[in-house]
Amino acid sequence: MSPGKRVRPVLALLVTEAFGGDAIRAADAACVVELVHAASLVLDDLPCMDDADVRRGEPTLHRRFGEAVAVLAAFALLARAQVRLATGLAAAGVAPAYRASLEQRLAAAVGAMCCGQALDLTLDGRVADLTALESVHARKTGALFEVAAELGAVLAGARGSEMESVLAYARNLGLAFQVGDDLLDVEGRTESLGKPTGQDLVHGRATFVSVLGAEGARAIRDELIATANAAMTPLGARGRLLREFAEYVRLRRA
Amino acid sequence: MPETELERARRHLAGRGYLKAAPGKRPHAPLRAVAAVVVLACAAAAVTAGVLARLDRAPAGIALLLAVALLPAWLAGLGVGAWLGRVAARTLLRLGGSPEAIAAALAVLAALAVAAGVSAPLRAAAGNDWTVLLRAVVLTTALAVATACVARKAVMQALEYRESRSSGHAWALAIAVALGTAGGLVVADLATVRARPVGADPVEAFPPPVGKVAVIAVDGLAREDLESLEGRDTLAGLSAVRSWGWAPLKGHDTRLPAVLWTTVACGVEPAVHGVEEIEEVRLFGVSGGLALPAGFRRIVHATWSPLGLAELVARPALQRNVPTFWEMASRAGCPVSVGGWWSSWPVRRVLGEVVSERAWLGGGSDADAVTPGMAEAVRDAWRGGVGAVEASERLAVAVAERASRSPSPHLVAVWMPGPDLLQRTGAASTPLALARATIPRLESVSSVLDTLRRGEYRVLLVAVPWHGGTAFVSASWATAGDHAELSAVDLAPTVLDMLGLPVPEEAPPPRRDLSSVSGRLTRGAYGPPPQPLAAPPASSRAVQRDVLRSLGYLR
Repeated sequence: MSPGKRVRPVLALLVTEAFGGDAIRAADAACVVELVHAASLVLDDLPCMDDADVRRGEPTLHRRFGEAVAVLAAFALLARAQVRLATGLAAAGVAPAYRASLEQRLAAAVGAMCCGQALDLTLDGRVADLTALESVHARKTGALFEVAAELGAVLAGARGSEMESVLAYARNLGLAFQVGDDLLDVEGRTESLGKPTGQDLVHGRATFVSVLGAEGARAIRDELIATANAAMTPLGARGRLLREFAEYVRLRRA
Repeated sequence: MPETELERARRHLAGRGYLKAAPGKRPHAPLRAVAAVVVLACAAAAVTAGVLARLDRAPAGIALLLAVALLPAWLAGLGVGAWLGRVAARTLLRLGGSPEAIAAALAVLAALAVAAGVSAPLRAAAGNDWTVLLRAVVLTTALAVATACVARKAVMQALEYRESRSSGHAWALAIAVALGTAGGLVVADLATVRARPVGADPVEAFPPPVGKVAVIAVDGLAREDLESLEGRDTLAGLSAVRSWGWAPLKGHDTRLPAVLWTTVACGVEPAVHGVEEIEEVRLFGVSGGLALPAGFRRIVHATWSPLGLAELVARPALQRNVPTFWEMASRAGCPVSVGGWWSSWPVRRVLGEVVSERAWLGGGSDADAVTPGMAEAVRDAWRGGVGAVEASERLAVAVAERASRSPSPHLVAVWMPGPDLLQRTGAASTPLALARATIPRLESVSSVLDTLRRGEYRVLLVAVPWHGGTAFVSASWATAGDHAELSAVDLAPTVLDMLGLPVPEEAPPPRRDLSSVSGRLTRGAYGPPPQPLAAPPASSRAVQRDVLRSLGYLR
């Protein structure tokens, strides 16, 4: 796969480490999350959807190999993710009932991403409010962030209350990431982003910036990051890397 | 960007679970578990107390106190159960069980345990009334469902196994519906508790009594014992009973004399006359007591008595629903004389004299224990530091002699517990010593029989053995030989019939083969029991409980 930020797999690995687990054990889970994310990007870029030409500084898959191959590749990535999850969790010694539960949760996240994308398409060219935006991105972005964090936590043997904290972290970080994306489309540079900026405005897409303004979006993003950091308070020093990761999400330029 | 727009965005996101370090404001898991146990314990205590109060026809206030009294026991039981469940769940998980199967199995176990606890007091009563049975089923099911839901969730949490979020509301709804059903039923049930049933209005005029009848109740005597009495002059009166007509007494539990002798006196089953316990619990210093099944009584007493907040006292027969045969005879204008019969305490307003079991067994001579005319006789009987055996026999002889000397009592009812008390109290340590000690007791019975026969009483002797042997009824006027067996409820109508008085509508027909009465049988109503002369004070209840305990009637 072409180089990307790998935010989701990194999240899974950092969570595993934060809870005292071995990051190597979480490698398969991290790959799974990235495979699903990659599949979603391929589908999002299709002409019937966002109709994007460039992704990560290179032509999108359907531009290079055609739509049919892109669709098939997305399905193949999803199937690969499913297989990798099953084998990876088994290899990590996760109990069968928990494996089934995590597989269900990943499948549910994929479903949520599809639902989010469908909602997103309905918003094209329309004036959207914050409710609609949050509803779209909780599914498109947030669902996979939460699964990534949950996979990492389960593999590290996190307890129930710790799980609540890490999910809160992932939920807030996921939305902050999306708000940041919207801000970068306005304020970022094409070279560093690997895709043309200002596309949301060109296509008339509803974004947090269009709803709240750049200043408002920035304020909300910062508050979401602060909340994510606060959720890590119970972990004390163990949460340091996750707090730094949240700071990275806040300050990212790509 | 106007400030209000940002605020609105914050509010919206907060409402959607963002901008919160932990989602929602759910209490910490252990607190949730404690809260669940407390809620379930409160519900179970309320249901149990409601059922027990309903069975005893106690007011809602007493039910509330009982719920408070039962709460610690339920809390402890559920708390220990929850802890054991947690340990079991983790152990089973380690052994390879699936979390869902473990949670389901433990939920079923918890539901069964709670159902068993809640339905415990209902089992005895359910057979008598289908509405009670229906309540039992609904209450138990509701609590069991709620327990199963809570237990399942608790186990899933203990195993840190996250379910799909959509099922949370369904479980909460199931718990709420189950608890709501149980609570609503208890409240509705207590709200509809009626005062104890009152008998039909008495008929306006009764026929005058015919002749004189004496009923002698003996505890600790079997029909077979009579065979060994021949040849003793001092036992001639009792020995003569062998030649009377007799019938075996069957079908009643003879282990609790209070219940048996009240059933004999009232002519109706215990569930109808209402005297099923001789001990009750008084909670938190409140005057009203509550008769509880033995297990619950022990739990409540053990929980609260160390703090001085629960007391076990003797239960006077204030809750008796129907009159005894002497009260019915009295209402019909027949003078009576009663000695020591169970459920004669507190003494009620009758035409004649009554020495209640409190005076008989414990020497009480207050207004609640004895009619004024017999108070001196009670004090005389207890003079010299004698025990209940001797005192009750002295009193029995005194009652018999007073009756035989006077033309007025048409009905005499005397209870003679001497032979039984010897065995209950373990006064004689060897069989031979017991036999020796029994003879004087039987001589007293014989003496009373002789006295009453001399006074021209037709005598019914009702005897119940300690264990083994045949309980029987012998009638001095009956055709000699054995008759068909009879039930305890047959005796009261037979006594009234012998006196020529109407038999209560709800009573079975009299046994005329034992009474040798002929003529048309009349039925009539006697109304509720007469009012007590005085309410038994709390102190006398406590003293009487000690007496009953010392005599082996209570453990």
